[in-house]
Amino acid sequence: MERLKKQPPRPDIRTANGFTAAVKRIERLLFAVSYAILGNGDACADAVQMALLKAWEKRMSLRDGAQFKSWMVHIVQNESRNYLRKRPNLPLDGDIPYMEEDHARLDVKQAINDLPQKTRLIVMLYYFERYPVRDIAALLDLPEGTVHSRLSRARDQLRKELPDYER
Amino acid sequence: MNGNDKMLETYLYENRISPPPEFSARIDRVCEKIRQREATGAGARENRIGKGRKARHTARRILLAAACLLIVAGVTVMAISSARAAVTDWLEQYFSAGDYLGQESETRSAEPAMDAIITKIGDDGREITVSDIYDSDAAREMAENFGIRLDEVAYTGDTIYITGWFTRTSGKFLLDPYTGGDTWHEGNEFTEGSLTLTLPDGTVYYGTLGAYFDDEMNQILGDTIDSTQMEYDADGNLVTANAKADEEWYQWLSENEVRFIYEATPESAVTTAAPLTGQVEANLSFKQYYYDVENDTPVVLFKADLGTVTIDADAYTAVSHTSEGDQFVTLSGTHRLFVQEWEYAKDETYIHSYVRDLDMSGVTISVGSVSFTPTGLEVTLDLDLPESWTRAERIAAAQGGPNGGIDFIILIDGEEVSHPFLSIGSKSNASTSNKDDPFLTSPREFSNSSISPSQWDEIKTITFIPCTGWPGEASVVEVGSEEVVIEPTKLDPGAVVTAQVNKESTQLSDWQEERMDDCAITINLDDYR
Repeated sequence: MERLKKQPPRPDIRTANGFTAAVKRIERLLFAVSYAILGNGDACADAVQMALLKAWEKRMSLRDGAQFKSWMVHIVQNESRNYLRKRPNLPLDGDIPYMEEDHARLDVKQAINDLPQKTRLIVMLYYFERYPVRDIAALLDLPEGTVHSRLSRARDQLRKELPDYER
Repeated sequence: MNGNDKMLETYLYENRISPPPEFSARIDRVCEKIRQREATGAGARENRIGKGRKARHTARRILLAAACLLIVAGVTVMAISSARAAVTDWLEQYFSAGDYLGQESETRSAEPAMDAIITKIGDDGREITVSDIYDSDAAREMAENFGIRLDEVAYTGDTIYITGWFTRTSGKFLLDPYTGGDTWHEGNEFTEGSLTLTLPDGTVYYGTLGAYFDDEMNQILGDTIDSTQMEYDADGNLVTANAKADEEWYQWLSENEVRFIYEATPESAVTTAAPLTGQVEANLSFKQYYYDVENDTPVVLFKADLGTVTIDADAYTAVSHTSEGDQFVTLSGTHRLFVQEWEYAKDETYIHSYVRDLDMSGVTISVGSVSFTPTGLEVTLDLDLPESWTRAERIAAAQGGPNGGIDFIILIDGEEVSHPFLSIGSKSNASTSNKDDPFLTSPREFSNSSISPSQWDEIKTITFIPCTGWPGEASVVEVGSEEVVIEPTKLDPGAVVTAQVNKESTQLSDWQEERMDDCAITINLDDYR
């Protein structure tokens, strides 16, 4: 099968095709946003699903399509918090060892869970999704310095909790 | 970045937390649902609603539809092709228990089966104890202004409904999410509120709290939803996100109260709680709060103990009736089936999309059960699948809906109706991920009826026509960039389009459908009443 790369134009989110195409572009981002709050992959699917349906119904209220990404992040954060409030005893993936056979990945999940919630997403976006600090700051409406300082504190904590990284 | 940091970065990236394959599949299904809602479903539904009454409380319908999607255990079956868009609109209403309870009893068209499970609370003199007031003048004012009147309570076997009114302006927080409006001045966040039911055994019911939008409210919603008039105080704090909406709502609230519907289910999302029985006295409480984004925590503005509510849990079972089915049909002939097969490799997961022309003579569909409940009809069909098929083929057949598989066109008294059931899913214990599970049977449950109980009383037959749906083309795009990795490819038998889960997404188009009219199964409802 021939594989090729070409960049399409920004989708029009007012249409179903455009909306869903825009969603697929940021699928991993939406997962990270939800996971940083819920810490449970299965629950993320529920929360993001609810967020997508709400966003679809309210899409006409978004005047600037360029803001779609940060708009969706905000909606997913709200839905994830709502989800957690309804299920305060939601188990964390990192606390269910049998869900992850790979010890290193389990360690990483537990270490991420142990970070302060407001730092988790920054770490996931920076280390897992390779977002530049500038983009993270813009997305989360934070000064770049705040992102740097939270990453720095997170690094210190992760080094302690993940000694295997030096091997 | 020093070498030590680089090692940490590499270690974290190599062991990064990624969405499970099921996450990507779920997003695909929601996207497909949205596309189909735009193409067929929404239009068809609007037709049905619009004929008999004015479109109203659209916002609540959105929440209801979203909730319905969540409760489907398997894959929601949706209309596949334009053939399904040939919707009859002889049913002029679109029924749901929440909608019914949302309307005041004096104004709604009576549904005797629903009325049998509804208990009037009607308490103007309910004692409310407010506590835990946040230390600010605004919070104290909010607490003093708080008022609630309860109207009705009902239990439908899994959900507790409570309706009532937030008095004075205390229900405005239910309106703001739709138009934008007042923010909590100290936190720049919208004020939120939640009701909680606590049963005597400690079981906690949480749920959706929504406003019932009447025609006048819908008018305000329509007039103000697109006007964003942000206002800030002298310190630069956002005071409101929609000043025009605030003005209109406060004018309306000076003469009206916000009617609410609370739909609550047990706390646990994982396990199924045992149905309630007897007269259950539950404690109802309210919490007003805002979510402090910076500190990542909810901040309670005040709490209110609303006393107890008595739920007649036996009423539902008393007026419900379930019979086992004894009808079955065996499919025949060769039909095309769409399969998406997962391949779990060590480091990556792949999804292979292809079609197969399969001999369906080994497929049996039988009526598992037929239930008449206060909220409408529920039907379970059992699918028995041939051992000669591959496991991936059996799973695909059982899933149906947007993933292809075996789906059903539904006729009511011989006429095709688009969405008589809002929830269609599998209650199977079979596991799609456990390779040791042969996956030979799969019950398909049709529930959450959009046809009212009294309409079902008049209906003689319901017919399920098996069909299969498949995409004529598939392409693959890169997740995150939407770059095309595989151009649209014709999905003829033998062709396989492969995408790497989480990195690539399969996009399906040119859907086709084949009906098996000669294998229809018609249930004579009088045999089961």
